[in-house]
Amino acid sequence: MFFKETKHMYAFMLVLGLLGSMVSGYMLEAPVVQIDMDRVGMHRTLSYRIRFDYSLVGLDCEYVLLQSLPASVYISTDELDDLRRLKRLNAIYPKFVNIELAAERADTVSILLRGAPKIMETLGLPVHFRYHSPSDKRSVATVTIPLPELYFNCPIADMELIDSDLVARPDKHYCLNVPESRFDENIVKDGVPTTKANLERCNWRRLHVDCRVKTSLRTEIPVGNARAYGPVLGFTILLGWSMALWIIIRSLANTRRINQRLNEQRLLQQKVN
Amino acid sequence: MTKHKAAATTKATGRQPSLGRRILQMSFRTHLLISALLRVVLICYGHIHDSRSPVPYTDIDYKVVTDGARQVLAGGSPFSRHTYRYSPIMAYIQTLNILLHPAWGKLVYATFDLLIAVLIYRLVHMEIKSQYQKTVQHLLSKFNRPRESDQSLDALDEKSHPENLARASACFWLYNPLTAVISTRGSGDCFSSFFVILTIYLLMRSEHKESKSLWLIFCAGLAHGLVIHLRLYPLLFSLGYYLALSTRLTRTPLDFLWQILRPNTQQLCLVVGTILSLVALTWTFYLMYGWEYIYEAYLYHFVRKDPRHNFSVQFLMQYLGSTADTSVLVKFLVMAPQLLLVLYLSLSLGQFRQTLPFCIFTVAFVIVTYNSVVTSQYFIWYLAILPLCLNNFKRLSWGKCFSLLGWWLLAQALWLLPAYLLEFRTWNTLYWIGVQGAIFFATNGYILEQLLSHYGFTQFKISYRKLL
Repeated sequence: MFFKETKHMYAFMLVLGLLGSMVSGYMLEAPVVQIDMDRVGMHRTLSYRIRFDYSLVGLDCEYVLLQSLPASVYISTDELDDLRRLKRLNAIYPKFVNIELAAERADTVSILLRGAPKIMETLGLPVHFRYHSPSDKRSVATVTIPLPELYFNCPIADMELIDSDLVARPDKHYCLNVPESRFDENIVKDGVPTTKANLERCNWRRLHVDCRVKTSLRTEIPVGNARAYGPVLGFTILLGWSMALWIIIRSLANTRRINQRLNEQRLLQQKVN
Repeated sequence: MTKHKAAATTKATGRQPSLGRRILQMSFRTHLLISALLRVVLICYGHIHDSRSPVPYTDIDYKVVTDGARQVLAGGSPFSRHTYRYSPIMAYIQTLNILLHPAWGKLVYATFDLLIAVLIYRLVHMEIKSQYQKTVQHLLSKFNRPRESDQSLDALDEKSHPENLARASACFWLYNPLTAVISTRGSGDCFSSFFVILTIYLLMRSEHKESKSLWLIFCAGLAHGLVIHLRLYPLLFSLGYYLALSTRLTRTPLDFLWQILRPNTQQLCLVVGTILSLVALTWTFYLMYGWEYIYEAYLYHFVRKDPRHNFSVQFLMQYLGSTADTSVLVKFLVMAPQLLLVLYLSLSLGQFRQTLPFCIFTVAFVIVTYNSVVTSQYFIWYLAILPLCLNNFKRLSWGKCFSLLGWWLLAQALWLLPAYLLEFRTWNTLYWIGVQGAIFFATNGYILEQLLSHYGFTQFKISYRKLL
């Protein structure tokens, strides 16, 4: 008896739900971003599988996945230039990133991966971990790559199709700052004329995104022991000096003999001439 | 002559010479042609590879210089391109990468790669011939016939014949896979190495062309100034070049001081030529591109701190000390052994033109071995000069030569293992890399000691019957 009633109740709720959705319109599913990273190595690839609701596909819209990287991670702009040239990556990134700096001296960096919404798209971003300065407290440094943010931009007419529930901050618009490779909040100032270009550039909305992390974005980078500097320095100096003196002592006899013979030859030459 | 001998061998034995022997007997021009073809194929391969693979064949520096060239064509400074830290000459050379074809620069570098082989061939040929004549003169003097200088090379056995030795030395360079790959990847190291060898060539030639001697030395100075402008390291060859032009042996520190303070005419020509080209080029580019040029092309190399792993014995020390303040005394203690060796080698091997190529080779070897950063590309600095000295290692057996080469390669392979584990497995192998760096350093030291101990310069087998 009890089971029968429950069954009826579920059926009723289902019908109610269907009716509700027909009345309120189709509910857009939040974009899904599945993130994967190679498990080991100082050089890894961040892979993104981005899935959009089919109703967003085909619209004249574009998205940008903003990936912030901590100071411990860098991108090689030359490498990304190559990927862009091969049309394997559509991205905005800083013009120059110093790849030689240790993590402690470096700055954070953000990369904008661009695209048009598709049912499913896979993107790959090669990233590299920096060396960390030696420490006397830890032997590894833990580096965590933050989750990306998703920004969306459509012509104003199409923008209305996006449910406000999808937008993370419905009250805010963002401007795409290409030179700095980031988004800035659009703050309308009195007296600043609104141009079409400005409208398009500053019409970006940040969307809720369902991030699914396949493999951990946390990794441990080896760190040297700062206390070992003294002994290593002493050993390096000792080795350098020993090698130099050993080479000199071992080769002195032969070089003297050669010079002696060449000098004899020179003297003879001078005598002949 | 070689062809005749080969034909005679075939006729006498009734058998065709082996393939290896036939390859060795080919003319130098044929070897040059084959090598040119090989390099063109590598350039084409690189072009195709780069259009398909995300891991490029082309050297990253080639792209940086091409970007610099693009800035030059746009009327700007090549230093506007980040990480452009070369002479503007490199950007000028590569402007045709943009105007003509992206592979233009690679063709230029590959051409210089081949020109190095031409210089090696000519230099070794000239040197052996000259040394032979001096040896003959020396021998004749023992029979009280010093003035009958024998010009023909008939008294030499086939193995010591200049043609064969010069060809073998040039082939050592031409068929070295490392050098062929590096030049076709677009690295400019062959370009600077060419001018190092040209300097040696001109200095050696000046001994045989007495009428044009001073001009040749002046030109050697110009080439030396240019190469210092291109890369700083050849500055340390200067003492060797200078002493090679002396007319008497330096035995005491006072002699040495006298040599420095009282240069002869030839030494003056060298110094004037060097300073003239170095100052003219540097001043011109300073006027064009300002302080940025001086900083990026020269000063940056002194202040650069790159703690990432490399072959250098100093890697671990530099990494662990990256946050510590290093005193001047410590810097001196680290640098001094290298400078001591450069001084010792210049004094002991740089005093005669006959030993000058070996002197420059050993100095280059020391610079690379003791450098604070060492990568495979740096090996070109001494590999380009090594063929000039091959003839002088006759006291080293083939077995010994192969064992030295084996040790050198093994030490690199052993270094590669911890480097791989750190880079691609994130293992903490920093100390292991440091130890392997020290082993590679010790191996290089052992190789240098062996080469110095087995170096000889008059190892001719001369037929007395033919001579007298």
